[in-house]
Amino acid sequence: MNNLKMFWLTVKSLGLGMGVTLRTMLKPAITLQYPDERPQKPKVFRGFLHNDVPRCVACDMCANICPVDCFKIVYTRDEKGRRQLHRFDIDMVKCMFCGLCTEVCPTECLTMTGGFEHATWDRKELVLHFVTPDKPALPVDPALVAAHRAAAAKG
Amino acid sequence: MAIHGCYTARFPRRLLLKDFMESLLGMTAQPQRLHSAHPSPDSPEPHLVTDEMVLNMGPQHPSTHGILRLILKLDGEVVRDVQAEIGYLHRCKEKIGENLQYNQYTTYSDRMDYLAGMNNNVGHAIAVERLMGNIQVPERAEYIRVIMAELNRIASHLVALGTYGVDIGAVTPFLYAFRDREKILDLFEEVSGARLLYNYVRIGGVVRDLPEGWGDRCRKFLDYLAPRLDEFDTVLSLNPIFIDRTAKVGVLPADVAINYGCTGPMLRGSGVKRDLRKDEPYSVYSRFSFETPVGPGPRGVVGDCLARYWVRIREMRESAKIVRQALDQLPSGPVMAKLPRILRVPPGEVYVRTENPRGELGFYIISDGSPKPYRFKVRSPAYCNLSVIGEISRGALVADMVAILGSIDIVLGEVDR
Amino acid sequence: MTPQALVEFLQAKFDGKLLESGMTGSDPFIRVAPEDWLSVAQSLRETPELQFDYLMCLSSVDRKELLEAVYHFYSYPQQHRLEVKVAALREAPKIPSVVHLWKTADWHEREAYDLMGIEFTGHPHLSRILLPDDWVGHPLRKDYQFPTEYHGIDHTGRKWLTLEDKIPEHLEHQTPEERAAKAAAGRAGARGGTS
Repeated sequence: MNNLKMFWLTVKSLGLGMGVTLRTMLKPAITLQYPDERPQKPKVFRGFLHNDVPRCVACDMCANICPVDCFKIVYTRDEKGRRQLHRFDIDMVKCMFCGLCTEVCPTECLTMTGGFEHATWDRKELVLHFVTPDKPALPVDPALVAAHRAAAAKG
Repeated sequence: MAIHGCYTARFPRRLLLKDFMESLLGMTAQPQRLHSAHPSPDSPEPHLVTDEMVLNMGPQHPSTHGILRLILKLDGEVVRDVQAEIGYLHRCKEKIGENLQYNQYTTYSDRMDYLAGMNNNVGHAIAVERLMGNIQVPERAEYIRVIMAELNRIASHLVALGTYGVDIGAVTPFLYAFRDREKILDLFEEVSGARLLYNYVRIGGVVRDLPEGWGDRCRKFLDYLAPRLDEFDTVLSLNPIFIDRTAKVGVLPADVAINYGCTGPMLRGSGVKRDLRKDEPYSVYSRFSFETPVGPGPRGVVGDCLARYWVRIREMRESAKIVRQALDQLPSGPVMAKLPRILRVPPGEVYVRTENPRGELGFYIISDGSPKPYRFKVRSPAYCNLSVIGEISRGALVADMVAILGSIDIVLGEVDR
Repeated sequence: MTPQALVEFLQAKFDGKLLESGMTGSDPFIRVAPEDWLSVAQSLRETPELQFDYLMCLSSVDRKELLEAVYHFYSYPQQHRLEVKVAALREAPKIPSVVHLWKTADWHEREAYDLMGIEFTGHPHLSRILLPDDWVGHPLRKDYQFPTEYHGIDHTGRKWLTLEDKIPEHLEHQTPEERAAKAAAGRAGARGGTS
């Protein structure tokens, strides 16, 4: 009798389980057909980085806070003491997408976009160059840099 | 008919399909005899000697949940000894901790137990806050931390149980679990910007406030989750095949568990009612009422795989209860304490443990007054839980190895750090 | 027992064996020499008032001339905690193993040996656990030199372009107008070439 009881238990649980599966089958699908339907990313989504160079004051705070040192920022000071950016590279291969650099940026020129579909064939193409030696950014007043630094340290 | 000699006294013979069919249909089979390793002149084939086989449940294996190498010594199909080789995912987190400032380390703490990022963040934040002399974290931040930690506990258990089903052979509940987990990840994405590695709970609070309407979306999710958990029970937990494969398998007695340092659902599955959220409450856990599920499952004995699975299923319901209470009690106010950008931590040391979905996550931080820690040690629960595998799988069958490993619920990122 | 009462009890019990005792933060701690560690450990586990049955964590710390093992204990029956520090000289770091008392120490001592180089005498199989078996050196030591290569894999890291290097043309930063102008010039040149 014990075996028949087990047989009945098996049939019952099979019926219950298949009932769940059938109910789920009749519900609408939740799959997004990916390349045609893309998920909506919220505003705070941490995607690839973007630097709005005209607003950058070359204060180096993003480079200092980055845990993996993926920034290469080169700037010179001219005779008036103004900083001029010559190079602003971000190595996205190293980047952890933590967002710490965007939090400390005093002018909010460094932001994280919603982009994540940037697969490339070559690793070197994932190094983002925002300023190049042939086209440096405009020089920045040192007083402006100091003011931004002070505001950031207070806030 | 009987199968001689391969079961030890700890594992009583379970009903096999063959027995069932024979007794139902009245058939008999030829008696099977396994040759012993030391043949005697009386045995039918004295010239055949059997040997122990070494089987590599190798680093690449879908059921090891990561890169783990288990070296099994088999006598036929019975496991005589298991040696676990770890270290394939060692990423030097402790050495990195010595070279980074305290607030830069939060992203790294996510990546250890990557299925429970919020819980790791909370543990790290509480450890550094205690080291700094118990700085005052705003109340709203404490409540948000609890909500995030418990939601992440639900998400982590859904992965654990879904993948456990897949290891046993039940593929359907895996996708149901991941479908429900997607909703949690969507909630987390709205709050922190990432789906798995959040970097949200920082030292001194949380980095940004909850967006508009998040609380309502969370409540809607909790209402959606409760019938899904019942469905999960129907499909997996009360399934006779699942119970047959997990009951009385991998029994871990309570004193062995404590001796090996097992914590979390492993310990609670062995009948020991210990939960850090209740016994040494940190953050605001003392303000919520919830149960601590313990002990044997619907069938089987205390300390077997089914008991641990049962504890995890019940824990998900308790976590949902906690989140509801926290959402109701959520105060308004700031979410981050006022702290300097470069934290100056006074010299000293602290060992703080918090309840991770896998057990007790401990941070032992020694500070010498500089912005970087002197020693940063992480006591990971999965490391201690995994060390017990040699003890509990002696005498089990090869197919049970997968069941036992799945019930321990390891995350190799945490085991290897 | 309260932490203060625990410290006093331990001071009374292990009279000559404690090199140091007190409180670190909120935890009681004692420091023991390696020679006395085994007997103290046995007492910690078996004394009815102490009953430390759970080894929470075993860490290894590099203290310049000493290599220290820090044990964190907890007692489930008595619900109190204790921290024990055992230090050995850096030149000969040998500490007795407590695997026979707390099986947690099995893997934790192997990790301390692997990453810090402390030898636990009496451990049944003290071998590297996290690092490959043929790794040289103990990384958590403060004077550890990172190797530059391992079995032919280069470990020095990628080299950044310096200021003097010319950036390849396809990586150059160009505005859309410049890119269009360049493409048009290229097309005109090609047309001129093939015509």
